[in-house]
Amino acid sequence: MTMPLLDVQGLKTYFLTSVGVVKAVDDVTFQVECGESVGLLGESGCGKSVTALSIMRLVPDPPGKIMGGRILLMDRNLLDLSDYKMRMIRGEEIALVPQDPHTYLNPIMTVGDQIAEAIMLHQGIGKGEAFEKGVEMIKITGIASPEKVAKAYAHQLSGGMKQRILIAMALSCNPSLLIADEITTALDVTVQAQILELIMDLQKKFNMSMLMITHDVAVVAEVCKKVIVMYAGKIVEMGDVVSVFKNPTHPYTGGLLKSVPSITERKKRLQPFEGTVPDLVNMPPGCPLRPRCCWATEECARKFPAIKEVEPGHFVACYHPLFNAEEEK
Amino acid sequence: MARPLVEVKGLKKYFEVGGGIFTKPKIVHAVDGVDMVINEGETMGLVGESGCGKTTLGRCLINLITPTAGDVIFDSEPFFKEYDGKVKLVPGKKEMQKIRRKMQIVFQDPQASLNQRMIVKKVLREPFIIHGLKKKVKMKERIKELLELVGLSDQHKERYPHEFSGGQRQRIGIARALALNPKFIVCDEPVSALDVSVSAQILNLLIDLKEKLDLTYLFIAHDLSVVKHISDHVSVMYVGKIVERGTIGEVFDSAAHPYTVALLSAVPIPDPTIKRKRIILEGDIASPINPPPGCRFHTRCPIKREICEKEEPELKLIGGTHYVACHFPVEGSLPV
Repeated sequence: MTMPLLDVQGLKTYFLTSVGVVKAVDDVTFQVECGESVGLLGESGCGKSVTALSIMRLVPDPPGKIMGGRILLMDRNLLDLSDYKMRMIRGEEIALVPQDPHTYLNPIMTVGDQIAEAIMLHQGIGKGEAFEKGVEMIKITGIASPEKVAKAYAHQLSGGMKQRILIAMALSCNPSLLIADEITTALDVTVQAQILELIMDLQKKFNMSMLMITHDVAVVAEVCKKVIVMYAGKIVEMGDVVSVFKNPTHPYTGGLLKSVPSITERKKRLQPFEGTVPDLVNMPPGCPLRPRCCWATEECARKFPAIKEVEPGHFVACYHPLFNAEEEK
Repeated sequence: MARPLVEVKGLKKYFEVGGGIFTKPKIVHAVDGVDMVINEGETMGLVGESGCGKTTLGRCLINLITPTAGDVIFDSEPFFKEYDGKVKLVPGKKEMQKIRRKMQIVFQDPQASLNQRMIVKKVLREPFIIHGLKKKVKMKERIKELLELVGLSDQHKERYPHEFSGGQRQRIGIARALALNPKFIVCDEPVSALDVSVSAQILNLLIDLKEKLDLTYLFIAHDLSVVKHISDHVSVMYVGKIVERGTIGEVFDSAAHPYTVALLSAVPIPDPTIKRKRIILEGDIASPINPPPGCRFHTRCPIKREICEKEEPELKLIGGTHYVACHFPVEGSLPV
């Protein structure tokens, strides 16, 4: 077996707040192979963005703190690196495309200069050359007149264009891992389709791995090969997209899939989970889904279930995985 | 035969932006000639990309803004009427207030649409005070009834909006809209700010309420899957105009306008085994400040011809209740 590109082991990121400890990411373990696209799926507050920030080591500290675990990129533990070395890894080996393109672009610098800045920092080349490379990158993202756009300011561009600029910036140093944090949430459907198509193309072209963070079940189904479902800071199910979506074994995944309307079929009625995501402050032990789950037993209140393999490559953390439950019925 | 509750004829709304002492203001053609009929007891879905004028249209229908031109007929009574190029509100002030009780709106962002300084009880009491019905209803019971109707309980009435989750806040917004027993509710993107499972709860609630209370909805959304789930009819809007309209089956199964076809193909499907060819529209939505001449979609249309740049297509019936505004309506898939 080849070594995974990214290996996250037992990651714990807690926020120490005045009202108590928020276990935003609690004992999360997963791998991303080379050239693979992995979807990190979950509702707001489930810890998916904090997972991404932990990998980049950008968790605001205080109040956030990485309490334990290892994040291995190839064979280096990112948590042991000095700030300087980490800065060299950010952008060069791991790049992040953030959710809201508007807040991440500097309003008083042209977008071309901003891309050039990243290239200059990482590749040590002069400004003129870096700018030209930036223009090249903008062209790759499918913008029609890259020279013109490179001299524009953020406010002169549309949402889709800004997102393309951020993708160009992220790809400019040829990273091996791209973390895409809800990149299409702020966009319209037609623009979303453009960006998804673009990112899938580029992923193949540059042979990158991708960690796609989203709450949109459909986006994961379209883009990713593997999916990780998170709930209240924990991984509840992960595996191959087809096997997880066709055969959801965790009650939460099942519920999530049943609450999404689809354009291809008309469901009679959506069957969402009752209630909402729990408050993460001072969570009791046991399965966080317990209060909302109709299969919950006493066992669930005691300890969070260990993650186990139900099919090859399909893992679930539940005492009462769905296929058992249906047999019992 | 279903009775039309809301009828819209040639509705236009222009906004002026910018302009100073020496410069002329620019005109935004937010809604530019829309015809629409919403039947009693039905849900009309309104879809389109941001900036296409969906919200403006919704707001014109319930007199939150006065249209620039066109007529609106509500419940067989003319509501807005155009005289000599000027739109006038037909009913007088008192009548208007009575009509207003029959039409309500649920806003997109429940956080912004609830007064943060009012406890829920006060929020729900306000409609009755404004309409002078405070003494006519048993307030305590009505508030309890309303909260239970939307799946909250009576104890919630003493809390402030910030003590609720997003989904619960949206429920309060819905309860407020229901307070005066309306007939017609404009739902302006009611679930787009919510999480997946919460949005499903709210959609179920809206469907239940519609059946229980005989409501009619105009459901504005940019998410086509949601619209397909909740609506009976759907109108597709592009830069201030309706380009296609019909029942859900007609529009979603046999879309005829290239824009609708592309829009449908752009929606991701939550099923990893289905792979299909996506039609990627180039560029962004045209600007409503300077809408392109001819068909407004021609700048992005993959099958445009010469006539599309010159002549604006009219909304034509192509069978059943299916209307489309295109010179070359497509059948099945787009030849790309």
